[in-house]
Amino acid sequence: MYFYIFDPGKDKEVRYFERIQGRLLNLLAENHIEGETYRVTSIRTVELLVEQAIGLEARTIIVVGGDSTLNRAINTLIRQNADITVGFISLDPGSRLGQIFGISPDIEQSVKTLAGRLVAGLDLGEINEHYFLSKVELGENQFSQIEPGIFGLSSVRRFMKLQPFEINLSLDNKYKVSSEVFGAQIINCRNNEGCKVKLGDPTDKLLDILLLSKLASGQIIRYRKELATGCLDNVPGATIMHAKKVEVLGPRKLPLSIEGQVYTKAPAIVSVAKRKIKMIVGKTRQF
Amino acid sequence: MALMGKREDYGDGATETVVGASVKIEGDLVSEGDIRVEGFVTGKVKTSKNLYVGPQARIEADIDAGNAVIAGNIKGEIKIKDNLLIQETGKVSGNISCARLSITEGARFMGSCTMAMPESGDMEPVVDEE
Repeated sequence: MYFYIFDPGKDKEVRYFERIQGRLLNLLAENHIEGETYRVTSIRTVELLVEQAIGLEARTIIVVGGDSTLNRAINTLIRQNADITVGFISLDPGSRLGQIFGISPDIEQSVKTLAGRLVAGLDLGEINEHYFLSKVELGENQFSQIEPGIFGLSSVRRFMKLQPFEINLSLDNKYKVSSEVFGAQIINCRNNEGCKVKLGDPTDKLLDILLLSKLASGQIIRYRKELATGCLDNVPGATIMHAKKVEVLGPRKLPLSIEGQVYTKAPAIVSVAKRKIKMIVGKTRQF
Repeated sequence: MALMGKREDYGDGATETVVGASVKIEGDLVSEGDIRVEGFVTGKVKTSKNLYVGPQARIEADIDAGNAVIAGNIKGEIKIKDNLLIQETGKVSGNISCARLSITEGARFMGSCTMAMPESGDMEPVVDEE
């Protein structure tokens, strides 16, 4: 049984959803994957709807919304220890998770992907009993939250204001890392488009640690596109490491954020979760 | 197998570990893929694949790798399964064990070198060099 959770959160998602809702339901029926549909409201939250789906013994939960809705649904599934496959139809054409998992922004293509039911067991990162699919950013310098702008120029001013910071990590209890960095990310999966190194394979049971060393002003201007798109490994001097468990030792109170939201502060442990999530992915996935 | 001379000659970078110039590592740096060191490492470095030590890198550790290209400063025991190349900026202080060795003019090496002899397969010390 398919259980659909519709959550057009932002205004532009709502407008888009109103436009395509009828067509979406027709496509689901044509591809024989129709099911129960529920829209998220202030009372009927994503978490409650997922619990409802578990109670109804749904085989598949399809999230129709943005990346944050998908993350919330997955967190609830993992906490409830539910063995349910998750699918995703993105209402945001710029969805990072959609690009990583090969889910097309075109609804006809994304419905065909769901109907194809290509299921992958994906690793999740865990931080303070919160699970994440994408990455954790350390410190105040969150590159994923800076929009590139035209020719990347508007982002340059923001990058110039960022300050380097010291960082101390312990990886797999085997070795300690210390450095002064401009940015630090712990990646479970990421959009590798335009990046030289393929990082963030969510099936390899590892987290990728990416550190960006301090940059001069000229380098910030020169590599603004790489900084804005998150391909920090394209910038000379970047550090890449891999581990199952990363202990962020310091500095104390260093914020750890996911998609712009601070979840905890150092000292903290980020690790690969014991449980995987089963997810319907597309042929154009990046792993 | 030709000795590696360039960064592009080995590895596909898919699971490569890269230690940047500003990074300091203490402990056992163990990887299943290639390792590239441009910073400072103390402890141990181990990989079954390729190790590249950049010209500004400093390693005070024992090294165990499949192949290695050394352009930086190393103090420690070095065990290489196959090819070892010490480039002109390389400085090695410690004992080496490898199957094939190449030392570029200008490199500095202080220690003993043990290499497997092809006929008998026995390990014999070759020469102490500086």
